[in-house]
This record gives sequence, C-alpha cells and structure tokens, in this order.
Amino acid sequence: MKVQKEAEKVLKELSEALGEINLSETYYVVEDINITRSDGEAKVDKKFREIIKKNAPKLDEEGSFIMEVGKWVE
Amino acid sequence: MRDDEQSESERNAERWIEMKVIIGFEIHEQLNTKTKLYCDSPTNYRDVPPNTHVCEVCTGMPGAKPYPVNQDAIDAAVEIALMLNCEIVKEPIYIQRKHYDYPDLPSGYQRTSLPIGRNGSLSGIGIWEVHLEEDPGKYDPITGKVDYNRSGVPLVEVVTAPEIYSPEDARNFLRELTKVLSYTGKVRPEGGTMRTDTNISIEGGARVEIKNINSIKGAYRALKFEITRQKNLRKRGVAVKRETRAFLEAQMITKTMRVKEEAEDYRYIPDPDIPPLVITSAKIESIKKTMPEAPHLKEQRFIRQYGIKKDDAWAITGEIEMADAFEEVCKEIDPKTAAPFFRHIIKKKLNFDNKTFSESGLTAGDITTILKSMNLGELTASSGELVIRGIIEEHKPALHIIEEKGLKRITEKDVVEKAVEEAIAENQRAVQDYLSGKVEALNFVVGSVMRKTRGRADAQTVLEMLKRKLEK
Amino acid sequence: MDAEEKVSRYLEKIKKEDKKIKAFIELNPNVLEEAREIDRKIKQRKAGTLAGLAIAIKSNINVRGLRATCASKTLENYVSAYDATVIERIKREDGVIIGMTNMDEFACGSSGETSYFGPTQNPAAPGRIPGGSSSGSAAAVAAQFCDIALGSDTGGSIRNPASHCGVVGLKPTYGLVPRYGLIDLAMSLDQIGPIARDVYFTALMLEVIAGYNPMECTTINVPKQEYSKNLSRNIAGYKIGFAREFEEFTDPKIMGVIKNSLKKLENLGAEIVDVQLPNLGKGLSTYYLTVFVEFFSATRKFDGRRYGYKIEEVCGREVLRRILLGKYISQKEYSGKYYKKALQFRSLIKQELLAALSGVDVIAGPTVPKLPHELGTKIEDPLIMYGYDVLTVPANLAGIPGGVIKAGEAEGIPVGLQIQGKPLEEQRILNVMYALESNSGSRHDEKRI
Ligand SMILES: [Zn+2]
Repeated sequence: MKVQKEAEKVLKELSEALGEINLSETYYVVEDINITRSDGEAKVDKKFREIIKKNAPKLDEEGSFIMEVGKWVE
Repeated sequence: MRDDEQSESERNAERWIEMKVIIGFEIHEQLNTKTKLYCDSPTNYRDVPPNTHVCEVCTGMPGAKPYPVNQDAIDAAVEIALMLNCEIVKEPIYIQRKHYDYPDLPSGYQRTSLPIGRNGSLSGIGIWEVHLEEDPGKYDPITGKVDYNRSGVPLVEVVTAPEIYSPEDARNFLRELTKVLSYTGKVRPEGGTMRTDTNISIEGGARVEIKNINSIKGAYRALKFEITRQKNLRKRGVAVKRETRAFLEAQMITKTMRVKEEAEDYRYIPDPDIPPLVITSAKIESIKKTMPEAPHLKEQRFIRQYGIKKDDAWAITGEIEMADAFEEVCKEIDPKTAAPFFRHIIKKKLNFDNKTFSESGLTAGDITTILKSMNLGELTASSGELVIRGIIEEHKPALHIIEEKGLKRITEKDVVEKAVEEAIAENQRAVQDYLSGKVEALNFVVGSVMRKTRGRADAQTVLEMLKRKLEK
Repeated sequence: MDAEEKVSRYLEKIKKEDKKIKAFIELNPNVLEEAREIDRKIKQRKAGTLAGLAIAIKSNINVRGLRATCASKTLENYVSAYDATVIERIKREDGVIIGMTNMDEFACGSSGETSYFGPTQNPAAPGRIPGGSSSGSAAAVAAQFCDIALGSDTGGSIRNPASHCGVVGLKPTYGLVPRYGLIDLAMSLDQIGPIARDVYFTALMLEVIAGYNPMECTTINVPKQEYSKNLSRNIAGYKIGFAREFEEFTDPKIMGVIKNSLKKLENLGAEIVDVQLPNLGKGLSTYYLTVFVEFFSATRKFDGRRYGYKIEEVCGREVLRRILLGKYISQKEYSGKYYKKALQFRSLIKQELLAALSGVDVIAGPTVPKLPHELGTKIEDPLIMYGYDVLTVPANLAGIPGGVIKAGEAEGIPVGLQIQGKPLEEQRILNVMYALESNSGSRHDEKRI
C-alpha cells in the first residue's frame, strides 16, 4: 500500500530528526490535578434522541442501535 | 449429547483431580452515583427505553469531552480499596484510554484509571489492585442491538491475585467480596450488577480468560465447566490454548471468543482531556473516619464482644443493616438470646423470601419488643416467629401485629379459669369419659380451652387447672 | 444597517462568489430569521456584544442542527447534536451563525486542499492555496463573507491561513478557550480561536469565547478579560524578541517583509531583542509524533456504527496516513521510542520557548516559511507539507498564545507576522498587532461593508 510506504519514510525521518533526550514527558500543558465535580442531579435532554435518530445508520423501533452480530456467536 | 460428555469428563476429572487449579478474578461492580462518571446523564438505566439516558459524552458524539471526574465515584473507589486493605496510591493516577474496537464502546476506547489501591487482601486472597473505570454500553451479540444507557456508569474493578484454587473457594471469595462491597453502601443495591472476568489455568497449562460472567453462581458454573474442559484436553494429550472464552449462561458452557495470538494491544495513553488524580492523605483520613468496619472484622468483634457463636456472628454480619440492628437489640437483650433468634428466625425468613434485611422493614425496635415479650413469657417462641413474619409480610410494627393477631399470651388466671369452666360445661361427655378412666379424653377439653383463648393460654397451665377442677 | 440587511448582503455575496472560493460547506438555513430576532433585541437595547455580527464557523465545531463534517466524507451527513461551548457563548452574545466553513479534512493539512468538498481558493492571492487547516474561515473573512470566523489551531491552523489570506488570527493559550464541542485533532494541542479582518474584532471575539468552563477538565480558571476595551496602540518600551533561527527556515522574500514590519514596530517605540531558539527545528517531529498518536485515539469513535462512515474506509490520504502512523507508533512496544520521546522533547521546546519569552514581552517573526503554493501543485512528499508548520507548532507544544497580522506582501501575496506571547498574555499580542495595524492603515471601521 502506497500510504503505508510513505508512512514508513515519514516516521523514519521524523524520529531521526529528534535524537536523544533526558527530560520528563509533558502530557498536560495545564498542570492542574484533581479536576473533579460532585455527583449531583442527573439531566436528560429529551431532544437529543431525535438527533441520534437522524445520524444513526440503523435503529430499531425501540431505539436500540443495530450493529453487527458477535463473531463468536453462531 | 452434552450430558454424555459431561459424565465422561467427570470421570476423567477424577483421574486428574490432583492437578492444581489456579484461579484469579477481575470483578467489576457499578458504583451507586446519581450521574455518570464523565457526564450528567442518569445512572439508572433500568426500565427506560434504550438510548434515552444518554448525552453526547456517553454516546461518543464528535467533539464531546469528558466532564470533570465524578468525585463521589473516586471516593467510593478509595473506600472500597481501603476496605480491602489496599495501600492507596500516592502518585498521580492517570485516567488511561484503553483502545479496542467493539460495538458497546462509543468512543473506541474505555477510560480506565491506573490503580487507586494496591496490595490488599480479603479472606487470605491477595488483591492486586482496585481502580475506576467507565461501563461500556450494553451489546447483545446475538441480535447486534446496542443501548448506551449504561455507557459511562462508574465501575470499580477489583483484581485478585491468582490465589484461588477451586470453584468452591472462588464462590466463597465472591460472596465475601460482595458482602464487603455492599457494606460500603457505595455499590448499586439492586444486585446483579457484578461482572467478572476470570483467569483460570491448570498447573502446567496455558491461562484461559473467561468473560461474560454475571453472577456468583455463573462464576461457579463457568469454572466447573472450564476445569472439566481443560482437564479433558490435557488427558487426551491436547495442549490448552491461551485464549479468551465467553461464558454462555443459558447453556452453562464456555466458548472461544478469540485466541491470544491475535492478542489485543490496547495502546494505552493517558487521556489528554483529563488531568491526573491525586489522592491526598487528608482525603484518605477523612474516608477512613466514616467508612464502615469490614464484615470479617465485625464478625470477629461480635464473637469477642458478645460471646456469641461463630456461625451466628457470620450470619448476622452478612448484611451491615442486620449487624447494626443486632448491636442495637443487644443494648436491652442478652446477646446469647438475640443471636440465635437473628440467625434461626429472622435470617431463615429472609432467605425464604429472598429478601435483604433492609428490604424487610424489620427494625431493631421491633425485634427488641418481640424478644422482651418472649423473655417475659408474654409471647411464645412460635408467636415470636409469627410476629416476624407479620412485620415482613404486612409492613406493620410488632405491637400492631401482636395486637391484631391476638398473639399475647393470656396469663390472667381468671380469664383462663373462665374458659376452663366453660369448656367443662360444654364438653360433659369428654369429662365423664375422663372421670371414668379414659385419660386421653381430657386432651379434647384442653383443645376447647385453647380454641376459646385463641392459643394464647399456656397448654400446660390449662391441663393442670382442668385436672384440679375435675378432681374436686 | 440592521443585522438582517447585513446578513442578506453577505448571503448575496456568498451566492455570487463562493462557488469559486469554496469557503463554506453549509450555510445556516435559519440565519435571516435569527438576524431578525437579534434586530428586535437591538431595538430593545437588550442585545449582546456580538449583536448582529455574522460569524462563520469552522466545520469541526459543533453547532446544533448544522452539519459538523470536518470536511470529510466520514461525517458528510453528521448533524450536530449539541452546541460547542464557544457556540453557546456566541449565541448568548447575539452573534449570528452564518454557516460552516471549509477546511482540511479533520484539520489534517496546511493548505486547504484536502477537503472532501474540494479545495478553497485564496481570495487575497487568486490561484494560490489559502493555507490551512482553517482555510474556509480565513477565506470567508478575506472575501468579506462574514464579520468574524472561528478557526481551530493545533499546529498553526489559524495562523497559517490568516497569514496567507492577509487577515488577523489568534491562537489563544491552551486552556483559555473551551474545547468542548471541537472535534479533536490532537487533544493536548487543539485550541479554538478567532479569525477576523481586524484586531478589534479579533479581540472582541476572543473576549466572548475565552473563559473557564467548569464542565471541562482542561480550561484555565482565570478572571474574564476585556480584550477589546483594553486594546492599546501604545507599545513604546515593549521588548520584542526575534530569533535568528527563524531565518534558517524562511524564504528570504518573506524574511524581507518580516524585517520591514519589525522596523515599523521599532519606529513605534518597541525594542527588538535577540532571543535564542536553538531547538526550533525539533518542533516538527515532536509535534507530528504527538499528533499521530492523539489523532489515532480521537478517530476511534468514527467506526460508522452510530453516525457517519468508518473513517479508514472513506477518508483521504493524509488522514489515513496519520491514523496508520498513530496506530503503529502507539503500539506498546514502540511507545518509548516515539510517543514518549516526543513528549520529552515537548518539555524541551516548552522550556526553551518560555525561557526566550521570559526576557521580552512577545516574540515576533514569520508565520509560514514559504509563500502559498499554486492550487493544484502536486506535493508528493508529506514531509514537505509538514515543513510549512515549523514556525507555528512550537506555540502549540508550549501552550502559549500566538497571533498573526498582515505584515505586507511578497510577490503580491500576503505575508503574516506571527507574534507569540507568554501564557495568558493575549492582550500584549493584540496590542502589538493593533499598533501595527493602525500604522499600516487597515482599521476595522474602514473596511466594513
Ligand atoms: Zn451522558
């Protein structure tokens, strides 16, 4: 596959450009911790279902998505 | 066909019985929060139509980001870890994305935290870790139906060391764990939300993972089946494959889902949308202050403090609400009287009705009333049991039931005497028979007295009173 | 002129000219109705700060009821189920959403050519690419199809097209503007920001969309700033850093224009100071290795089961390349070699940039090292395309703000000056741009239709 070939070249050149380093990783630019919320009253947007319906490839009459059958189930 | 196989394999199993079985669990239990782990959708997905208790976050709509983590879920996981004697991790706990492609995963990855607690133990079995994750949606592999109402409900996962050596031990362990979890009050009380993945291997064989186990009974059956299957293979000289199997509850068998050669690489990365969690010592201390005593510790304390039998203590501590009620009752009643009553009368009725103590409506006050009356001789043992049944079935207080059913023993001598005199007058034939030597004829008269007093008189007292009257 | 009239003029202009420019993917069918509603509010003096302004939105930002396609067949028919936080804020301030703009597919590109709906033209340099990935947003502003546009910037996607199209753009500090509702390219780098024809509108839009979102984990909780009110052309005494390393990567024709504008800044009383960015070139690898992994993760939801199509089956080559690379390097056995290493270099680049900024108010330099190529030019080597981002990615890696304003023209093509600042010091960037803008005579009130 052509994309695959190109990808290999891209990866080689990008990683070669870096070289070695001994620093800790920056996973988060904002150095906050413990971003939490308290459990509170639940909310439901009734109209949300309409948009799910609009976008779903396949829904049954009850509103379940219909997806593939499990491979390991005969 | 399967029956034949099983009986054959059972015979085989006997020959291979000396081979050591090694079992480990990953147990998932839903936490009892109002909102989901990363959004404000409701967690009660039962009895609502599919895909209604959802939003863009828990259905993986493009652009949705997780809300800040539900603090109550974190606290619950910490408490459960503490109850399982874990060390709480002090380093930053990253929420990882665990990638895999499956219909029930709306984002193509599941958010799962690094361990919150480590190196715990329960019933002598090591607890490797406790962590927090989000429940996927519900996928029925047979019809292909997917409902995301469950997606995002907080789960606590408990990972045990592979230190369980038989299906029976496995069952006992799971029962004990369920007890601990329900003690915290932080897991969903409905029951049936426990899901376990089990690793099982037979000495010298490959490890097999069994998924889709949804109950303790299911775990026991799946293990039984799997041990037989593996031993059977080994006996025929076939190597056990390292694989993931699904437990099909209805058929009570396990079935290959995927072989490990195609083992999945989950490509874990810390979720860039969620900064790490840090559990502070202050937080740990405040949870420790309010968390309940672990059931096995409570059991030991009951034996020590109240001088009751181990079996009684075990039964009473089965449920924290019952254990609390017992302690309350013991403020006024001798524990040695109360304990057997709890175990043989109350627990028996609850088991029969398949109810928990908290569902039963029983209170420490009611139980104290009953036991007091029994001690005073106002209530017979069998009446006491009737009152318990009445409370559970009719949801009325003890005094009300005693009154309504007229269960209070009649001790007033003149009332009994009056009934005896009436009975003698009404049953002259039986009286004559008795007086002419037919001793057993008197039982008929006693029965009449008991009917008149609706069973509240003491039969022995009645008999003696009758004899005295007739001998005059 | 009331909002309704203005919007209908924009619509007319779009109808006439956008077939060629392709700035929009979809127009808001209710826009006139919404404008009328806002006119009523204006009359009652109840309208917000964006009252009646026509806002174009990049197609990777959710506007409830409109399609957020990301210019991909994957989401060709995906109708947004909700408003992004920035959209809620725009609506609250009575901005009118005019439509959804074209872009590089899933924001993967710097040319505006990878859209499933076809490439966007550069209104300021006909025949050339507009830059990307917020190609349609920059083009819509340059072509005067709207008052302000929203773009997103992961490695330069606001600043690059703003430079090529000769408009103003600003990538805010990471975490200043909520990302809720922005379809991810790389979660740790993405920011939404304004693109406008002048600094005032840029500041105005920033002030509306910036600010803490308690329902998001990565926004910063800082007090609201009134950027537009605090605009000042007085930059006397400002220390403006310039790094020699910029020149190594940049076309001399562009450098000429940049140097010119640095002189202008000096004339306005600023002091140009040398700063060192020795690892500038390493930003590209750091950036792309990070993007591949995060983008792979972000696209796992596009499995075609709930909406749209399975991404790998319908997407363009650049998107597929990034997914494959991300899948490859995020394997357990390679994580130390690529992703972790990239995150380590990210620390280095962040440190270096913050150190350089510590002695100055802002750093000024070029935005894109090359002039926009002619539309249709075949660039086979993805690394050449990636090279367009070398000057813009460091700001994203460090999470700092960066603004772009037209510095002049080379061969008749706009060239943008990039001004980078310390975290949360957007005001200084805006002020420098404001000073430069009034000096070159392109004031916001002169060009309005
Ligand atoms: Zn939700």
